[in-house]
Amino acid sequence: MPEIDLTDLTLRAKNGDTAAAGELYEQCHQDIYWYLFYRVGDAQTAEDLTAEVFLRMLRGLPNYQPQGKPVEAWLFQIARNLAIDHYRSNHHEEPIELKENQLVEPGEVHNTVEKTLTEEKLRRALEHLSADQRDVIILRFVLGMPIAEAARTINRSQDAVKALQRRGLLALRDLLANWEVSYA
Amino acid sequence: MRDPDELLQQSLDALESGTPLEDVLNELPEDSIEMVELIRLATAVRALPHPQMVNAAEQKERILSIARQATIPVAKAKSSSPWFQRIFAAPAGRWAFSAVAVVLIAFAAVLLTGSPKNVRAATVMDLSGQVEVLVNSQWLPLEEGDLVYAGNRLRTGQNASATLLFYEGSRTILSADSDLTLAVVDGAQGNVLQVVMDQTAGTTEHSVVPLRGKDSTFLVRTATGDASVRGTSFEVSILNSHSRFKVDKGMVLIYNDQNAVLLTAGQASTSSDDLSITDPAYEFRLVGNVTAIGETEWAVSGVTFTVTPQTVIASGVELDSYVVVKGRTVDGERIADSISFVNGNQKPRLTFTGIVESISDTAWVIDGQTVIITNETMIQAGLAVGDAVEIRFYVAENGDWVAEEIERLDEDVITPTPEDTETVTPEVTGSITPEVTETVTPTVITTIDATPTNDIACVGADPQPTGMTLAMRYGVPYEEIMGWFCKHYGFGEIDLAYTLAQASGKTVEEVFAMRESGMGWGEIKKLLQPEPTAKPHPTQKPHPTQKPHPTQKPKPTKKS
Repeated sequence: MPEIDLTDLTLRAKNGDTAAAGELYEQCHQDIYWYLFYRVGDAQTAEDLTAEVFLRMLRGLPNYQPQGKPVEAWLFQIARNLAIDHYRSNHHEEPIELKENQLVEPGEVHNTVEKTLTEEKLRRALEHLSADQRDVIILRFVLGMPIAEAARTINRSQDAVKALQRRGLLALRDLLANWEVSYA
Repeated sequence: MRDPDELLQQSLDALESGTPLEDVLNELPEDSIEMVELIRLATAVRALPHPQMVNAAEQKERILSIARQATIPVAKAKSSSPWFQRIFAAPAGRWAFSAVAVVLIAFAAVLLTGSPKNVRAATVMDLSGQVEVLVNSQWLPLEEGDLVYAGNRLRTGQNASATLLFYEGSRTILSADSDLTLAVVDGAQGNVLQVVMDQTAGTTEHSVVPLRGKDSTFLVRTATGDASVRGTSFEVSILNSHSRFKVDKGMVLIYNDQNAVLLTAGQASTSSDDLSITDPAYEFRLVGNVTAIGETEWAVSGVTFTVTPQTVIASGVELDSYVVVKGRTVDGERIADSISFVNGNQKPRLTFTGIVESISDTAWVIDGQTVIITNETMIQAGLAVGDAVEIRFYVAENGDWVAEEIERLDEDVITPTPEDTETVTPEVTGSITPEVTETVTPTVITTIDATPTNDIACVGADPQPTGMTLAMRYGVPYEEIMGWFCKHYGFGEIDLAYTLAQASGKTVEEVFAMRESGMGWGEIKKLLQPEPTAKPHPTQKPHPTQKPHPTQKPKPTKKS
């Protein structure tokens, strides 16, 4: 997320400054989109949900009060809820969480020639992580969010995020190894 | 041995601060093959290109357009009214339209008499003040009898209110300054009602007729927590960054992604934007004049209560203001959630709820509070110690609380009356939508053949997603998890109990027994998990021994 003071932008948007609302969108939409893309796995759905995140933000602006929690955390919370709702409304089960001794069959996902890590392989692998692990991997390594900010965003302690980070990476490593996908 | 989570984070910190990858790897202890792999993987993920949005510019314009409209003050839409409104503008048009409508309705009724179909609307009733619906980006005034549908966003102005009546008798009352979007309004044969609404402002009250079948839903969503019910009466208020839920009858499940609590009659709870939900607590409600304002202690009609930084106080409230205070009694302390000016003509009224602790001829103790009983006190017959009751009282000159009325809190679910359903007659007003294909068939429900048990009512969504997750996580039946939940344990507590049971070798029953003996979770945790090591995650299992690794994977560089 950017260095610009998003709280100030949000307060201005709350007071009817549409330029501030536009700037808020500019600053945040890409991260929100990436987050949603890796959560829902479909570019068009992610775009639609990104729009919904900002629409809900607009609806929530009259009640917005800065209370120490970053605006990004608010937006990601909306995005997380939307991603969950998306699964529910489409009658999907929550993605199958990978137990650490339960690997996916290689042929299930990877019958392509390419054996290097791509965004698509990452997305598919993330589907097999727990929701919390997936959130942490996306926030930390796709969006490059510092550990403290990631912790605030998903409302966990930094220690919990560190644990989720390692377990998530371990699960990813095992999946990619099983699929014979290299990443170094 | 160093904590691997911490070691990994330190290495990632070093990378983030610009240290070259190989240098970071060289700094690792010798036996850090796994750590090397994880750091390389993290680096690879960070280096991946990620997809770009295709329509960001258009999307931004669309959102900005809505933002501009949102700043327009509430007003009736001007000109460019839809065709059906223009028809209605002329008396002849109204007559003609009404005639057509009557014919169409009669035709529809004939078609539908034998086979009621889905009902996807709520009827607007008891309108007072400015109540509007957003149609094509314009706020249009609602009128008595209008139908509103899924997707409609409604709002009430200052001192305004309205009731939404759903086809099987459930009702939602929107108080002043409320903002509500109907996400789902659906019905089906056999009175299966599905209602989902998103509330972003104000206060709503809901009376839900017992829902039937597993597909039925009545859900009120807010930004910080959702209220799911199957037959009850409850209230939802948006208070800045948190939502407040209060139950009048029956039970309501309040939940968000991280927490869940079950409220019973007389209880209230709040959910905050950090996804915390307060424990259920009995409510007090004071309608009267402010008689004292201190730094943290205020009084209304002589009843003192605590004001916290989270208390939402309407601007302009001062000594002698006529207000309504909504709060909860938490560990014996009355904490105000909100203090607002009284809307309408509410009379002074002081009430609180709680469990009867002792009964005598002259005084009762309820939730730690003594109330004086006089000859004038009206007491519902059959009340006994342990009952949950609501007390209406006044404060005597000597400071005593004198009970005016004591009645049992009704935990029974609401039963519909014929009046509820007879009023649902299809009307075509033409003011909101040109559709005249409404499939409402008047239904008179006289009996309830599926009275929900407490078990059903406490489950909320069926199946409850968090319950399912926990059941899968711990490999136990879903019913077992929900059994604990229905004993008023939150999902967080259940999660913790199973984790502690696994870690300690005790049974879950033993862990809950410790809790029920009065021990705090902190004490239990300390006792069962004495070492300060990281809590073993329930899904953490031994790594597969024959895990294939990528052949291209470089060997770690060990520190010499």
